[in-house]
Amino acid sequence: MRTNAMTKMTAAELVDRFVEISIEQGKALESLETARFNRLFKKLAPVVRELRSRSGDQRHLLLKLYDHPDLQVKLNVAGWAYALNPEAAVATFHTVRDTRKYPWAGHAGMSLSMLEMGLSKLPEDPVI
Amino acid sequence: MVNWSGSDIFQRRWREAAFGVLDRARLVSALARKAGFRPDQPRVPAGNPDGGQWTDEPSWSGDTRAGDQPIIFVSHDRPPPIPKKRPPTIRERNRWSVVVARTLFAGGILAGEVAEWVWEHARDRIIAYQEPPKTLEELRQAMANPKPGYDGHHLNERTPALRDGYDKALVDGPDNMVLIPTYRHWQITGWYATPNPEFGGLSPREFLRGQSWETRRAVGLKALRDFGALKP
Repeated sequence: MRTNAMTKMTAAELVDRFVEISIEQGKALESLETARFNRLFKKLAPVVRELRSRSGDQRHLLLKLYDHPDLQVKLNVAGWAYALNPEAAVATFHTVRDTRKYPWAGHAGMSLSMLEMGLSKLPEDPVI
Repeated sequence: MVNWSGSDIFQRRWREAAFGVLDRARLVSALARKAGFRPDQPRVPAGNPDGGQWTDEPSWSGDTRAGDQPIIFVSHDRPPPIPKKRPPTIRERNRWSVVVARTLFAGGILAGEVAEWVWEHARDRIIAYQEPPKTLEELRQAMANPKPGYDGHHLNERTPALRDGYDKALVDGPDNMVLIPTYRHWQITGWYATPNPEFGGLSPREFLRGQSWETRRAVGLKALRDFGALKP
């Protein structure tokens, strides 16, 4: 369900919000604060849904964030916008995995492993 | 008599630590050599707020000091300043200890002393985290000799497997148990517990409920490898 606040935000504001939440998720992950990471996931989902619902699937605006220095931002773009450019997403998973900066390297590696095993739903592009 | 396997200085320093010989200054020194520290590495020009600091690329910026302590980076990894005073909660102490472990592993070095409380709180876990990945057989056999800094880890997560009706003898049996560094165990557990778009918004733990024992095991082995505990 789209919230009223989301529908009033510009696409640029939604992208900024995506970055803001992603950075906080990264801090939570680093601090082993799983509950906080999970709460932030629930805040991120409606942002992505709103972008997706807009004309032409505005998730494409997230793709420029592959150049963002924050590893969690990169991972989130690869996961949430996978279907828009799978090759770029897979390349990002490889890049993050190869940094050996854990836990993000581990999460990236597992994303690749799940694709490899056929368990990942990213190719189906589910609405979350 | 210690049998040093190979000439890698890191392996030797790690083993010294395991025998209680290594102090943290030597650990830092050994890891600096491992990370490729060079005395002729360019420094940030004097007069700059970070003047005198080592730099790899001109991309440094922001505060690179932890209170009064200079921070030397031999990589692009910039950890946040570690508190000098012991935090009041275990959660905070664990949080910062993991940051120290992770930073050392990634090659970012904290010059000078890391606060005493960090070593008192997590010395064994920090040292264990620096360990290179091992074979599955080595990880299994290590269960016979549990030691500080390491946790017994279930390849197939214990609670979900028991809830799905798998036999306790199987779940807690030797084929499903390995000994791995505590912080890697926590990081793997964290992955299992966090929701993910690749599982339709479910956590891996939720997604794997109802999956076969073999599928769970395959995922568990991937996790050991991808989080740096198991050799590829």
